[in-house]
Amino acid sequence: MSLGGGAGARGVPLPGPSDPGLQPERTALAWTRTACSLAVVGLLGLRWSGPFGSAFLLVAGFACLAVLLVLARGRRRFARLGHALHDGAGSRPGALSPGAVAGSPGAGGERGGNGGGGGERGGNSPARPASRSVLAMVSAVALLGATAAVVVAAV
Amino acid sequence: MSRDSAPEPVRDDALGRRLFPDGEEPDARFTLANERTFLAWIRTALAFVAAGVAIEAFTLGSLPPGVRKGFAVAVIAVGVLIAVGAGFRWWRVETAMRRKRPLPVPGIVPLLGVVAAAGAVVAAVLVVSA
Repeated sequence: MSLGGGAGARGVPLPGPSDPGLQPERTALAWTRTACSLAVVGLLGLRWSGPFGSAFLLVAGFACLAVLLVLARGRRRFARLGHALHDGAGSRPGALSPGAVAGSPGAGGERGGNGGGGGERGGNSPARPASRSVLAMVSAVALLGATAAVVVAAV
Repeated sequence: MSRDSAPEPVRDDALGRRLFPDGEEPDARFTLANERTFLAWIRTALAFVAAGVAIEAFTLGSLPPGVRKGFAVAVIAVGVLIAVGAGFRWWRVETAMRRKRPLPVPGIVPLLGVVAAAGAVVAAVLVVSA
């Protein structure tokens, strides 16, 4: 936590204890990974489904739609979140984009002073929980599983 | 520090307000970590669903059809249970963080351990007896 504080007056900027800009990106990647897995399983069922092909087509379509909704909402949310986390941790008036943290020498002096106090909390950057996306993901998997179980039992 | 530097179109999050009526928002990093954990569980659940489909599709003939179908449906059902349980746990953890209470004990973990072990035993039996 004293990484920034040790920089002193000249201050090559050191990132905070956990570079805040990467958390939204990691989470966005996790959503993308999961959405891709969902799409793969949906299409797998479609490939195999036999005489019940139309039922699976519907479910796979729903799964892909859920995927697209999640991704579309996620892009905007994570762009906003990246900015918000940087503002909270760096106490800088100008929003640093997540990629530019390490390479901004002008931020060194102030970050050195504020890094100890503001960097740890990052608390004025709320992330509203993604309730709708979570619900969409659970529903998609449950629907996919239920359809797969019905097809397996009935064929 | 309550000024916004990036414009934030705050949509009306009715579902969020209903799910999390009280407490204050935790550090954004914890909310995001909770989401990533939920997504990891979802990917596990999807693996179970895919495995159930594969059991039905690829073990034709080596088992009586009733046993095979039952097994496949059971595995798929476990996948769905994991997904629903993961969504429920996501909600419980977020609520606990908002109220600054201790995090709930994960119930899926021992269940998953038992199920995975049982599945491995069954698979070994199938391989040996085929």
